[in-house]
Amino acid sequence: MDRYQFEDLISDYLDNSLSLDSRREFESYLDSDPDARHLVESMADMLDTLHRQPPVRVSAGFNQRLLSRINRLDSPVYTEPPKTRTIMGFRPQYAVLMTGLALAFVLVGYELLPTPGTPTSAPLPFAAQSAPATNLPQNRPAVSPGNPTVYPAQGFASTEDDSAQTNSPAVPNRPDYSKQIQLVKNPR
Amino acid sequence: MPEAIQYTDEELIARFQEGDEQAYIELVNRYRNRLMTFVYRFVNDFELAEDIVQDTLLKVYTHRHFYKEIAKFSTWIYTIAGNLAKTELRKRKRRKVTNLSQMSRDDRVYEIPADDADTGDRVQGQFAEKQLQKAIQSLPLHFRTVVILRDLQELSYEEISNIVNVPLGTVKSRINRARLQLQKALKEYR
Repeated sequence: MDRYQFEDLISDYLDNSLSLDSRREFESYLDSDPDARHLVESMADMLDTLHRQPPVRVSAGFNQRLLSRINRLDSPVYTEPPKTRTIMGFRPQYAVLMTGLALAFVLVGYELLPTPGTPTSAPLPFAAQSAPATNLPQNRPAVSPGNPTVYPAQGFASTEDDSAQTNSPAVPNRPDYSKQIQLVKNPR
Repeated sequence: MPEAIQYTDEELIARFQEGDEQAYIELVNRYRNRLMTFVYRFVNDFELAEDIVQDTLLKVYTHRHFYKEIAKFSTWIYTIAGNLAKTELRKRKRRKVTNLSQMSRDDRVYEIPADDADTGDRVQGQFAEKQLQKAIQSLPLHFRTVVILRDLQELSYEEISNIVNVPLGTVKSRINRARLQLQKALKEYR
């Protein structure tokens, strides 16, 4: 038996819970080591002191105070705080707030998303000037998923090439300003 | 409730669960000093210990239907007291502020255990008691709990195992190491 094994068995020895063989081995270790014997004896004394400690008593009027606390619990003035209900882990007020925020987010997102047939940006100034709103078809066909509406390119930049070619023949009523433009140092 | 009959703790709590408030009073009388000893040794503060014992007994009152007779009543009540004491110690550790008003607010009268020995013996006994209390306080919480429950409250290893919710072997090992550490601390203080 080494020192560690000895220390592990002290409580079992003092509790008389060692087997006969272990007890013999333990006692032979005690015989061989006076320090070990001293440790066991002083621990037995300490346990004896602990067992002899008087109980700590509550103060006078303990029951009275306890009963008055209980009476306060039972009185109608005291109301048990209601158990807070939660909706998916949120308190109701936060759940409402979160739902509102989520709806607002969806609505704003919907407004920002481009819808089919709506120009994603303002028409180019030139194109807008050359194609007034009156050129747009008056009777638009109904928009449905199976009937994608295609509007004529009047007034809009070509969807094939959105580089806004100003001299494109696709824009019929484009006024020709070329003769009216005079450069400052024009020899004419 | 007739007083001649000695009810077990489990019978008393069962009666209390059925509405017999006298059974609760009996349980309070049985456990108040035992809990006070346990909690005082644990937190080393009379007033705080008494507050914790009150809270424990109040919890027994309000949560009486939570007790199921699968464990001993003493295990249940010691578990409540131990948890409340640990929570309070943690709170105090976090605050780390000395409340000076506590020094003067004591209007309670504590019963000092009656001692028939002469003054010299009493002083010596008080000194030894203080040394012991100081040594107990020097132990880590998990050692302190088991050594108080075993050597001051004299509970069985099985019951301690249920209270602290660790295996029996661990409890035995902890008690042995706690005793060694306590022995060492007492040697230093003497």
